[in-house]
Order: sequence, then C-alpha cells, then structure tokens
Amino acid sequence: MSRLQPRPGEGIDRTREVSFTFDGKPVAAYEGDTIASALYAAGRRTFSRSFKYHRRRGLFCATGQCANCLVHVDGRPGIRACMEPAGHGLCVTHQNAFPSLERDAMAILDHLPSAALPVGFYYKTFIAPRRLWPVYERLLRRASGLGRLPATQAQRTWRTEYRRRHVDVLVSGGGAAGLSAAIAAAGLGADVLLADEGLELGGRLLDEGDHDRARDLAAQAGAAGVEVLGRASVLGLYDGLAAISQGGTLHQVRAARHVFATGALEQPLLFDGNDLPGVMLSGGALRLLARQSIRAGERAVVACTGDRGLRAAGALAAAGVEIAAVVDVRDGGRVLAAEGRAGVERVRLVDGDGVVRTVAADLLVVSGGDAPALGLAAQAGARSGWDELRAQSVLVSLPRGCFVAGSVAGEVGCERSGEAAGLAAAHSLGLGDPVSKAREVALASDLPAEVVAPAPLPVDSGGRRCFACLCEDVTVKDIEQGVREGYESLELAKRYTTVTMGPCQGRICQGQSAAVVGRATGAGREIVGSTTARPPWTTVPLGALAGRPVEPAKRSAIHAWHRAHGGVIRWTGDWRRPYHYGDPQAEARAVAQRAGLIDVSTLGKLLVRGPQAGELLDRLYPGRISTLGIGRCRYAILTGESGRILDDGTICRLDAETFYVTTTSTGAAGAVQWFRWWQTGWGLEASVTDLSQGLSAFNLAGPRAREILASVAELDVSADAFAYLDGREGVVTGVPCLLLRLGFTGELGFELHCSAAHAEHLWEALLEAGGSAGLRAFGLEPQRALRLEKLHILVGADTDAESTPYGAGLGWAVKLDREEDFVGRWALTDAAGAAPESVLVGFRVSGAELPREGAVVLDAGGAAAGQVTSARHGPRAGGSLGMAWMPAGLADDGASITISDAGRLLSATVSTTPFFDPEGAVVRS
Amino acid sequence: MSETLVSESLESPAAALLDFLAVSAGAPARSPIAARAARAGARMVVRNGFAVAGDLAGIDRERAWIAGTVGVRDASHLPIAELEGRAAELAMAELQGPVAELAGGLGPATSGPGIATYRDGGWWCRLHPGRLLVVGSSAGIRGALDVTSSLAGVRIEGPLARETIARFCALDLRDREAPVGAVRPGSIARTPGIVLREAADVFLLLFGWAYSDYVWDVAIDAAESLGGGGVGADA
Repeated sequence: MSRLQPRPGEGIDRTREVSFTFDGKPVAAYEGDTIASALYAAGRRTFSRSFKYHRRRGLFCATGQCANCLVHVDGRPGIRACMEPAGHGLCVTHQNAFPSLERDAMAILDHLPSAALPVGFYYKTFIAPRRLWPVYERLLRRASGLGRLPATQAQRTWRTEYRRRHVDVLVSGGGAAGLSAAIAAAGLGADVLLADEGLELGGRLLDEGDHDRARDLAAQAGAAGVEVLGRASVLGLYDGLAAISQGGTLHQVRAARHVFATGALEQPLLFDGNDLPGVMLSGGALRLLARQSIRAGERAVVACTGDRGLRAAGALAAAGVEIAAVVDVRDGGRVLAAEGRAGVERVRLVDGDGVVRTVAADLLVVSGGDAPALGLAAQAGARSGWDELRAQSVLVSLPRGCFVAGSVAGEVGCERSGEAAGLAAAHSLGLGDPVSKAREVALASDLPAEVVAPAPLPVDSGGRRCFACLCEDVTVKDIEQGVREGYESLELAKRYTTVTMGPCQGRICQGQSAAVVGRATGAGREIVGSTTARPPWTTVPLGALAGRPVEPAKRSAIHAWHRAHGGVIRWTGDWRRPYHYGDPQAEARAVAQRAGLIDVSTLGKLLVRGPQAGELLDRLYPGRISTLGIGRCRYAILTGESGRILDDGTICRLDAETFYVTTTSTGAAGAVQWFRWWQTGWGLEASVTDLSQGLSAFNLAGPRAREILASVAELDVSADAFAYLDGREGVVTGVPCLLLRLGFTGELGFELHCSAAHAEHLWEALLEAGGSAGLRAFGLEPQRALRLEKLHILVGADTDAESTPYGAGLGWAVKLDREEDFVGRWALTDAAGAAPESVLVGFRVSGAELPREGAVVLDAGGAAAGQVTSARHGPRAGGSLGMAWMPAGLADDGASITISDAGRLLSATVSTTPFFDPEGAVVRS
Repeated sequence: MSETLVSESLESPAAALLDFLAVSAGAPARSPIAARAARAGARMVVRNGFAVAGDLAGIDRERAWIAGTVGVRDASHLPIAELEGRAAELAMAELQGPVAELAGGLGPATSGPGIATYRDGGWWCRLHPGRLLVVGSSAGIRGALDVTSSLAGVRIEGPLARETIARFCALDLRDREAPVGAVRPGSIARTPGIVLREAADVFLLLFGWAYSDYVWDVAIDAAESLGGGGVGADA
C-alpha cells in the first residue's frame, strides 16, 4: 500500500470516501484524489498502452503534461486521469488496448523487427499495390487513435457551453507567480480573470509542500476580486482571443492584457526503457506525495540535471522511500537503461566515477531540467531563443500587451516576478500611481534565474526503446534515421516522424527532440530552434470546439406555412426555401394554365432615396436608371469594374427621389455592400436602406393572376391601368403593398411586396381568393423550369465571374451612349468593340433525355467547347430544354450541337430566342 | 416630439407614400415567431397590432425566471424607425440637449456614439453620423422610414441576462463598458445585429427579421441552460 499516514497540508479528505470503477472493478478513493492517484494508491502501475507499439505506460508526469494516463471516463475518451477528480460512481475504462490493459494483443508490434515499422512507415508502406488501399485504409483507421467515441451522436450526451468574456487582464497559470500577478493587477483596480488547470490553486507551491502559502495567496486573490477559473486549460490564443476549456464550458476571453505565468515543464531524460512504468518525473512523484500522500515507490533511483531532482530525492527519502542511488549529471553520472517486464525492476547506470552498475529499484525519478512553458506566449507573438548558460529556450521579446511571470520567464522568485508582471499589466492600462510604479521598478530589477546542466543525450542513441516522444512512440533512432533521410530541420523531422505532434503537443518531447536533431545534424541547439507554437496548448475534445449545433439560417416570414404544406426545404444561399410542394410538374402546369403563387421574399430589396439617388444608380448600373419614369420598372444588370455580371434585378421608381431596387436572393448582401462601398466614396446625397428581410414578396403568376388579384386589391389592376413593368402602391386584403408588373416565369405576373409582419395574412388571403380559380403555391424548382423557357438567366447559375452582358445576350441593357461615367464603363466599352467569343444561348435536345448542369458542349471536332448551365423539361414548350455557354461560332439559331454528359452524347439544336412566348405577348397581356 | 423634427419637411410634394414598408392596422400582423409560439400552445395576444405570445410556460413561472434567472421575450412588435442623411443629422442636433435621467438605470445617459437617448417613448440610437434608429416609437417622425419588420427583436431580462447573451454574443456588455442606454452593433449568434441595454438587467437584441427562428432557438437554448426560458408578453 503506497498511501501514507495523514500528512500536513495534504489535499485529500480522508473522512470522505468515494468509489469508482476502473475496467469494471471498484476503486476506493478519497475526496481530493485524482483518478490517477487513486489508481496508483490501489497498486496500478500500467495506465495505458502506447500509440504505436502498444507498450505499457505508467504514471509519468502526474501533472497533466503527457499522454500516459489517458482514459475513458463515463464514455468520454482522452481524459487525463491525473487531472480528473475521482468522482463517486465514475465509470473509468482503459483505452488503446485489447482485450485488456494487461494483455494487449497489439503489443506484438513491440516485438516486430524495427524494419517492420520504420520511421515514416505511413509514407513508405501501404502504398502498393494501389488497389489494396481501401483495405489498408480500413485497417489503419481501426488501428489508429487512442480512445473511442460513442458510436452515435445520440450517445454523446455531453454538452459544451460557450461563454464570451471581456477582461482587463487574463492571467494564465495559478501558481505563485500567476496568483501574485493577479493580486497585484486587481489591487490597482483591474478586472482580472485567472485560469488554472489544477484542482487547487498554488501550482508547485503545493507540490513542494508549501500548502499554507499557496492557500494564503489564493485567499488574497479572492479578496482582491480576482475571478478564478479553476480546472481550466488555456487552449490557445487566436488573434487575441483566448480559448479556455473548463469542464463543459469553453470560455472565449478577450483580454486587454495577458500575463503568462505558465511555469516550466520538467523535462525527462533519454535512456533505453525511459518509458517503462515506474519511470516518473520528479514533479509527479512530489505531487503524489504532497497532495495525495502517496509514496510513488519503495526503492528509488533519482537521476537529475539540477537541484530540482535533488530536492525531490530529499522529500521522497523523508517520506520513507529508500533512495538506492542518486545520479547527478553535473557530476558525470547518467542512466543507461531502465529494465523490467511490466515496470521498473532495475536501473543500469554510470555513477560519477564512471562505474557502471545495476541497481534494483521499483521507481526511477528523473528530472532533466525545466523548460519554460512558452507555448501560449509564443502563440501571442513572443519570440524565443536558446540560452546556452541556462540550457533552455528563453523569451527574447514579448508582444505589446503581454507580460510573463515566474518560471516561464526563467525566474525563480515567482512571487516577486508575478507581482511585477501584474503591476506592469495594470500600469499599461493606465491604472496605478507613482508608488505602485516605483514598486514595479524595484521588483523587476533583481530577479534571479536558475541554472541547470543540459540533459545529456545517450552516447549509443539510447538503444531500441529510447523514446524522444512518448505520445507518438518516436525513438531517438527514429529521429536520427529521419535526419539521415534528409529531414534535417526540426519542423521537417516533426512532419516526418510525428515527434511533438501527439497529445502533449511537444511539452515533454520538444526539447530533447531538438537536441537529437541538433546532434544528428551537427547544428547547435540554437540553430535547431523550436517548432511553431500552435493551439491547442493542451488536450481538448473536438466537440468543444465545434460550437452549438445550430446553423444560422434565414427563413421567410411564411416559412412555417411552407413546412406545414409539404414544402421540400433546401438551402439557397443563406436562406431555407421551398423547392416544391411535392409535385413540381403539377405546380408548373398550374402556373401555365391557371395561376401560381411563389414566395420570393428572399430577393434583395433596397430603397435608394435622396436628391441624387438617380445619379447614384446611374453610376452603379451600366443601364440608364435616372430616366426611368415614376411608377415604372426596368430590368437592370449590375456589373463590376471589369464589366462582368455581378447581379441582376429590377428597379422601380417610386417618386422623383426614391427608387426600389431588387437583387437576386443570393446576391443581396453583396449588392448592399457594393452600393454602400461606392456611395461612401462618392458621397452623393442619397441613402441606401436594406429592406431585404423586412419585406416579404410574392409573385402571383398565370393567366388568371389578374382576375385573382382584382378580387382582393383596392386598386385597378386592369391591363390599361396597370401595364407591364408598371409599379404601384396599393392595398391588397388590407395590407399596404408595392405591386410590380413583372414576368419572370413568362406569364402574366404581379409581384407583391409588403411588410413581413403581414406576409402570412397576405399569402393566405391570396390563396383563398384564388382557390376557385385553381391557384396553388409553387416552389423554386417549377419557377426555374418556367423561366428557362423564357431564357431568363439566373445570375450565378447561368453566369460566372467571367460572364459579360454581351456574352449573356444582355448587351441591350448596357448604355454606352451616355456621357457620365459608371462602374465598369471602360471594360464594357472594350467588350462592346468585339463580338464575344463565347455566348449564352438556349438549346433543345432531340429526345427526352436531359443533360445535367455542367455537361460539356462539344465542337465539331469533338473537343470540349462549352458548358450546360441549366436544363429542365419545358412545362409549356415541352421537350428537354437548356441554356449553355458555347463558342459564338456554334451558337447560330437552329445550329446542331452535341452535348457530352457522363458518357452520353446528346444531340441538340441551338435557340437564341425564348422557347415560350418569344414575342412577349403573354407577359404583357 | 421636438419642434424641429415635426415641422421641417424633408419630403417632396409628390413623395411616394411608402406605406408598404409599414405595419398597417388594417390587417393582422404577426411576430416572426408567432407561428412557432402558437404551435407550442402559447396563448396569443395582440401588442402594437402584432400577434405575439402572451405566455409560453405560465406567467408565474415566467416571472420567476425573470426575477431569478433569465427570461427571453419576443420584442419584434416594437416600432422601429430609421433616419438617414439630413433627417438623421437634424434629429441628432436635437438630441445634443439635456438628456433625461434614466429610470432604474445606472446613471444618466449622455447622447453620442454608442449611447442611446430615451425620449418620447423610444430609444434614439445613433449608429453612425448619418444613421439613427428610433426603437419603440416610429409614428410621426419626419423623414423616417418604418423599418419595424426589418429588425426582429428579443428582450433578455433577468439577473443572468448578460450571462445568457455571452453564450452567443461576444460584445463587451460589462457595466463599465456598456451602461444603460449603450447601443452596440455587432454579431449576435453569428448574424449582424444590435444590442441595446435598456436597464441594468434588460437587454434588447435586434437582428434581421429572417433570422428570428434561428436567433430565438439560440437564445432559448442559452437561457434554458441557465435555468430560464422563453417568456410571453404578459409575464
């Protein structure tokens, strides 16, 4: 039993027992235990199996830095057992081992010759024969990964909350430095948030037995008004946004100032078998001892490069651990190998006198010095460099608004360092007074730094199982082989060997990997540098980053009606629209023979007002708008500076200074921005108001449309009073409307625009009024078929970023015979000077087959020459109709063309005039 | 209403009526979430001519949410007027005068960018020098466009109102940064919108009418996770 008698300051409450299960077996624990400490106290030494070779892995860092103790907890994979409180009733299971943790079938990989799984094997094997890749892929997918998610979304019951926060100062790290920084900044009036991963604030103060000081600082922070996020990991910084994962909450914090008090990461040593259960960082052994009163072993060897390891040896000895040997690198000693079957049984070492001996031990405590935890600071833009004297990477520069405190700055006076950083952060916000500023200067002037010896590299490359990267099972030999194959920089070695790419994100392995690369290439450690720091800085469930499962969607004011009446809803841009109501052909026939009503509320709708509104539109459109008569509408295309089609729609002049502009549904937002961008520069006396969402719009179309409208409208809608392309304000069924005589479907049509608040009433009233006339709702699909018969284009479907009005057959909408300039004039003038090479025309297929949109138009030689943009069966004209871009030479009316579509060759005839009502008599009726 | 705003004509004699922009008393008007509220069994009432939910979960329960946690209330029926250009400039000039003390607020608001002024039953919100939004009152404002149905709204009320909003909106709404009367254009649940702080624990969120279903879903999801929920007009 490794649990000691009660010790002063311990973090467990022995009066409160909890129980959980591990792989189905009960485990007793105390409140204050972690899952890992409870398992360790119960005698468990193997916590997981490694990623590649399925080697046994034991508790190594016990501080949440490595991936050795990842487990499933209540179905959630990848939980760090050393950071997760032992909760009553938890169901904990191992991961990455089958059938059991003790007997893992995949452990056979550890006994294969090295050539079977060479470094970068995924680039070298499983690539031939190529036809077997689907098989390989399935195998690799099954073998890869560590944990397993529940099979279905419904079983993944956890939920992530998202909290956006703003604070003056965010302190990352709740050790002595972080707490001191937070207290100092809050004391000057700053709004301070502190995030710390630990179960309790205090960091290494707690691990090293100074519980009282840790708790005193925590109490001071609380009294100063510091808001503490406990058990909260700062995942990363994204352009100033700090993402902090805290249980089921992801905090998104924007801080005016950052203080990084992220401490230092104790580094391991390189020797054969350095991954055996029983090899443990000194910080981990001390944490178990100080917080949970657990003795990590009975007989220990301590190997270190600095005083930290020696202090650990003293503490362990005081707790009753027999210290069999101390190997101090500074004295010339080193560990050659840790040996044992399921854990450390012996340690082979060289002592300071150069004598090789083997020492029996069940615990090998290692301490390869501290590496400042620079990841977050680096993500914020800090730069680091190699300090030969300190044998570690150190900060060279910090970005504005960022401060560091404590070990991450290489300083050992953590409280002084923290206070200085906190004061500096607050002062940079304009807080404080001369006294506090003098205090900051005094504190910052004399902060000592610890000097340690560099951790030695193994002379013989560390044997077969000397791991540089525990997460990814990358050995020293692997990295050296990678260098021999040409991956000579740390970044390349990372990508080739995957070293530093595991869950620890390089915390444990980056320093020694860089050292190995440095030795293998002959470059100095300062040349090798470090890999780019990227989020996440610690493990986080992907689900926490995914956001709530709700997608922004625009819906028409009568969306509920569409759903209730069988509307088949699909995305159209950012709108949810009914494509049809179950029978698109019948809907199209209704429009052609009687009347149909379609919801076109998705159209962009702008009101352009002011004395210079006409001039604004004249400058924006290639057509002349200011000459439009009051109460009249005009079709207009919008072109960009290159003369290409951006959008199209109609413009109705409501009075001398007011124009109502419609755009396409998907182009509305772009058109609004386009209008305002130009208007901002021109500064004309005109305003642009976006009414796209505020107004609903319905198109009543068909031979009986006028009759239906007349029955409910309080205005004269006769052909004489309300002609084609007229626009009128009027009341329909009590609703004030703007009515436009338009005919996108080719039928007699009226577009009714009204406040979205009245939409449902107007829609239902129209349907009711038209019921006896056979009126029915129709969706987008029949509308597209009907408009195709008229060769009315759909911008974005029938055009692309290269389409000009001339190619699209819309040259008539461009008015170059005016003096004033407009957007795209130069390009359109140029385009007008020559016949377009490619044109958009209609075609009718011989037979009933329909080409798909995107099918290829072939030239006489059978080469691809054009592309089908739309194709439908014609509801009125019959047959298979379409539109396509093709070379002008092929596009003569009546010319024969061939369309190739996924192996089919279709014969078709070109038509440059509409298939239905080419003279426009119907639409004008 | 100030003399300047009502007396100076900004429209030409032959100006279009633009009645089709406005909500009319001649026909029923519906909040964008009225249909879903009705489907959920809400008791419907009429406010400002709109059919809105009177209560969604029982008035007592809803009042308890507002008092103890948070309630989300449909406010799409609030009249909203928009002034642009010269009309906006004139109105702004009027608003530079003494500003009324805000009842129940954190202190007197000052007129200017980012701060709305409460006058004549509405919040006069200056969005930029040439654009002014009047929320809660639209009748009789010269040169104004009625944009009531362009912007839907929800009111988030209760001690956890700010916390609820923080679940889907990154705007800085701390007391110091956004006192009562603060107007903050920005992203609301990833859609363009405006937040207006009407009282210490009352925030009005305005957003595109077509996003109503979506924003309501998001706001209710956040409120329910904090022990609150949707409330009706009568709560």
